[in-house]
Amino acid sequence: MSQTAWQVQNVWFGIGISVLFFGFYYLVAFLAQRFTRTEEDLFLAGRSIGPIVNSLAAASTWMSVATFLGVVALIQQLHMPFVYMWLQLILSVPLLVLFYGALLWRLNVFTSVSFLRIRYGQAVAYLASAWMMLILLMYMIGQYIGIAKVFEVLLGLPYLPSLIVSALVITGYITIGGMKGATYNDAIQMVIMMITFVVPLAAILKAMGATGYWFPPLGYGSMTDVMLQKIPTFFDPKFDPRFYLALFVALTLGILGLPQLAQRVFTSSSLKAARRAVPWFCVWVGMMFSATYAMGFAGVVHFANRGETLSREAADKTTLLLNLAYNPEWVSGFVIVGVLAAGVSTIAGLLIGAASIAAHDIVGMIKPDMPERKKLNWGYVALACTGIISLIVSLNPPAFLITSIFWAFGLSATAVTPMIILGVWSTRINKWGAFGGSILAGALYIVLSPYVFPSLAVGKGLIANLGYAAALITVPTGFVLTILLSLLAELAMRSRASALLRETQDLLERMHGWPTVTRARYNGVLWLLVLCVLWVPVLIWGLQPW
Amino acid sequence: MDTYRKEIVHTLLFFFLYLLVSHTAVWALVFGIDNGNRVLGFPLHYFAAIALAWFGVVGVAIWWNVWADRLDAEITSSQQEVTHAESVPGDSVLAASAKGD
Repeated sequence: MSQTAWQVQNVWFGIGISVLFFGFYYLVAFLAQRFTRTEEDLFLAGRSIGPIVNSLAAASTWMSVATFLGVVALIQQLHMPFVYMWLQLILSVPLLVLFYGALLWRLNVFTSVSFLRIRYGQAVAYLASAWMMLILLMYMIGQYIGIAKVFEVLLGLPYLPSLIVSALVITGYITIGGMKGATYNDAIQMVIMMITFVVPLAAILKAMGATGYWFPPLGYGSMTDVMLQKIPTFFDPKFDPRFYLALFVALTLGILGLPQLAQRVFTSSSLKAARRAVPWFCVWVGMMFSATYAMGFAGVVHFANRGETLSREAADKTTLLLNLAYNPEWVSGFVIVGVLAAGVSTIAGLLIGAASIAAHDIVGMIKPDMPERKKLNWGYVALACTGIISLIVSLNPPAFLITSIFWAFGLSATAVTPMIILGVWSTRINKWGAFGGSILAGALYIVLSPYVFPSLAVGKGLIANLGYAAALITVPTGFVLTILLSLLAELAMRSRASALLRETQDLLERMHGWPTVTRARYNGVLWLLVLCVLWVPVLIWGLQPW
Repeated sequence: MDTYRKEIVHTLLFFFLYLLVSHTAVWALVFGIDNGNRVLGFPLHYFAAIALAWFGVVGVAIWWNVWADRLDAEITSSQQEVTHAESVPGDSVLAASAKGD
């Protein structure tokens, strides 16, 4: 299949409609800028966002270019196991709010690093900032490159100018609008994504003879027999239980450490608004994910019927190929707008997440008494610089930075999640345990990955590349080290640890909303030791050859 | 069950509920798959996986919202439960913490 097969022939229509939508995003950003007067406005939209808008914005941040392109391609290649893999990603915001988002909202923090600074002190905050910046950078570079490739492969534009222009345009509107502009733009982009993906999908399913085309996410059941005839093993789980356990360990737990989603929760106008956003988020994400499975399914049936096997490059364009096959060409122009919306909304969340850590947390630690006006100016500088630095790195990215984003999730599960979750639910976790557990387990994850020291990597192929094999060793290590080092430090430094414990007890009980601090809550050691014991079989299983 | 224990136990229960409805590969591995059992034309296990990871998660999220509101009310009115000698009244702790932010 040649490249022209998935290119939109009317390039000017594609460019024109993209310019039109970006013009609209700029308009929203300029309107939002008029209401940005403080650092809190810039990074948290003045904590003014209601549940519907916030849920749409969070869902939009969570949907990336991969939702339109990569996921559909991977369903073609991996079939049901990839669907299982993707299904659990809906848990991102629900689990984050359940375990700590709502509690941290009460603390009025800007980012999860701000919480770690209050909870453990500056050293742990610097370490967490470093991990999070690395994860955000990996994520952001992938999106910048993805958007440039959209212009290159779908419209036939040259890659490098596409990368530079699109990155500057995106950085520009996010810097101007800050979190308020990004939130309303993200919400609008989520609506665009749903329309440009689901409506053309209905037309595709109708043309393919699916009887339930009017509800695309669940309307393709009538194609099951054709699928089983062509690919009898499509619905089989295929991988062994350890693969599915690794999904939980590396991905479900990894998502909990991602700062950009936590920050969305902190923009809520109230604690209830933060909570109410969760079911709405699940409605939008569930609809988009289910539509993605439908598109993947339709793609498998379409190409199996034609007796074609797609290359990886062509499989990535399945959404476009199906649209070009069954819909008028102008529809593909709108699909491109949807792909771009998915990419830029993700970049918006990442850019603001990284800039908040840089300007609010890192600069805030170095210069704690800065006047509000200066903080705001630093915020704008951080936003613009983050975008430009990401662009510069994207021009010639080091190989390890463009590995799978799932690998970065594994790093988050290893080095960030334990210190946040344990820090919110136990007063016995202290700065020594948090720092030691994070740095040792994080370093181990990097050493065991196939990207840095291939000879030391555990597992091979997809399992190793996605970070699953290493995560089954390093995530248990991260949790166990954080707990044991905390308890050992408490024994070794009784007087210092005792003073810290009292401060932590005050903080945690108030975060959880108790009107009176008793110093008797969240102090248990037994459950921490039970948790360590529960991680041991996972660790042993992870150490077995894959 | 006192409010403090309820907070911890129920948070864990909701965590497991979320996992049950979204990590459905476990169900397929435990109970096996039969592509002959159909719902809306889909094999039952496929339909269950897609529907639970959407409507099931929404349902758990709504249930959690209702529970969290009730828990908040219980926590706010929980002063009478406090028996510990070292109790510290007032909102000073959060205010002091936020200063560091």
